[in-house]
Amino acid sequence: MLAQLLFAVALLGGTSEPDTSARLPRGGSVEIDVHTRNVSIRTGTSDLVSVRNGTLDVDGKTFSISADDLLRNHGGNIDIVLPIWARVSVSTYTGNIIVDGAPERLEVQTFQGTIRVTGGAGSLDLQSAAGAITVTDFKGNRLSADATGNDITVTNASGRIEAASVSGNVRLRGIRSPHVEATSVSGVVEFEGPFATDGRYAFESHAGGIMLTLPADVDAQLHISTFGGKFLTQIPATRRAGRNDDGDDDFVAVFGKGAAHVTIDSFSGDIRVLKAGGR
Amino acid sequence: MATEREELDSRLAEAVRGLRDTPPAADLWPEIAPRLQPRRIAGTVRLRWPTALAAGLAIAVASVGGTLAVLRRAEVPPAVVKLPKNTGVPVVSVALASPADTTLETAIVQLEATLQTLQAKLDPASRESLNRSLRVLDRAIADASEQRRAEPEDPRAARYLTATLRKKLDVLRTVTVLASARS
Repeated sequence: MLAQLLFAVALLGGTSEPDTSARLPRGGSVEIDVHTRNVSIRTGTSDLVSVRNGTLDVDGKTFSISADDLLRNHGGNIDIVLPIWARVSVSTYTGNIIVDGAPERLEVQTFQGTIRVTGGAGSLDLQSAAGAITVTDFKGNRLSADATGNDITVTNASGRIEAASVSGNVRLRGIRSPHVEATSVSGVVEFEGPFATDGRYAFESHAGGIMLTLPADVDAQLHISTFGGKFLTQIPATRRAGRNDDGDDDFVAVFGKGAAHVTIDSFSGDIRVLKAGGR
Repeated sequence: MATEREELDSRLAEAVRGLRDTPPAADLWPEIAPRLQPRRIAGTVRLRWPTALAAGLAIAVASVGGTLAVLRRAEVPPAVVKLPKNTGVPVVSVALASPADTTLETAIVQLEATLQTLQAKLDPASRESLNRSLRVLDRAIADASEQRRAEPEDPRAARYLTATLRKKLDVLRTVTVLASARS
């Protein structure tokens, strides 16, 4: 009776659950699985995992974090602090995920929630069926972002980058990467940054259009295939007939000596090359 | 200093070294052999070899026939085919241009059926968002299909249609996994 009373008071009064902490063994992983609650993750240098407003279960090198959805309106975010070297997976249905300082390896899956990640020096694998994905200051090896029905925005990032949406826009800005793949079906695909000399890049949009903002001295060959889109560029390029083995190119636009290899596929959207800092 | 485990291991090794094979006083096999019965797993059917051979031939003929039918269908000019209409997921007409496209389309229809079952358990906002994306993909497939019909000799158009179908299949796979994890 007393416990029920206390629970009701906690529920209605919005009292947070107390912190729970445990030391994660080296090489260990953290699995976070909640339904509708928002999750906020921060990384630290200590080996300690601490959880507020959630439940922490320890099973050897695997820590599991869950939460009671009954508290979603009053319990607030599930706040988690974990070691930066940890392998972390997060799964929600509608809960939003905010990660400040991504751990070494992070996988996030959500159906409706938004994903917002800052930092990261390892690998990120982010999937949302309906929510937006935003990544800032990623300096790791590999970033994969898949937002079926919403936008993907990546700003100031390096490493291998793959971003795919169906009905959302894909915006990649301040990118320094030797390998980028960005696709959308109805959304716009934007890329802003220099191409690496031996880099390989692929941009694809069915109808939304593709916009590349490049330095004036860009050194790349753009293999362009389109059925109904126009190619427009602010930076002078030489144009030659397509020549790859598949015969997929309509034409190739060569900037400088054509060092980086870029493929561009658009069904009906226009392809624009803008000069960085240009007007 | 030897640990407890090392001491245990050395005692075990000593015991193993002391083991000796001791043959039985008399040969027991003649008494055991007549009592043995061949074991059959419950639910299995025992086939004699002529029956098994006939069954194997029948399967081979059916398999070759099915493959030929698919290939023959691929040789005919692209045709517009209406996929079975379902309630939740948009349906699109597709020009069947190659066996690969047929296979992809079959897989798409199967996954759409699976997803439709799962959709009933999603909330309305999630369902609408999902269907919006699928409609976008179906529009893209329709465009690619139209291009294929308009330019039947253009290999790019054929590849584009296949790539677009594959994209829809990939998306269906992803959202089915995400939806099933939460339903």
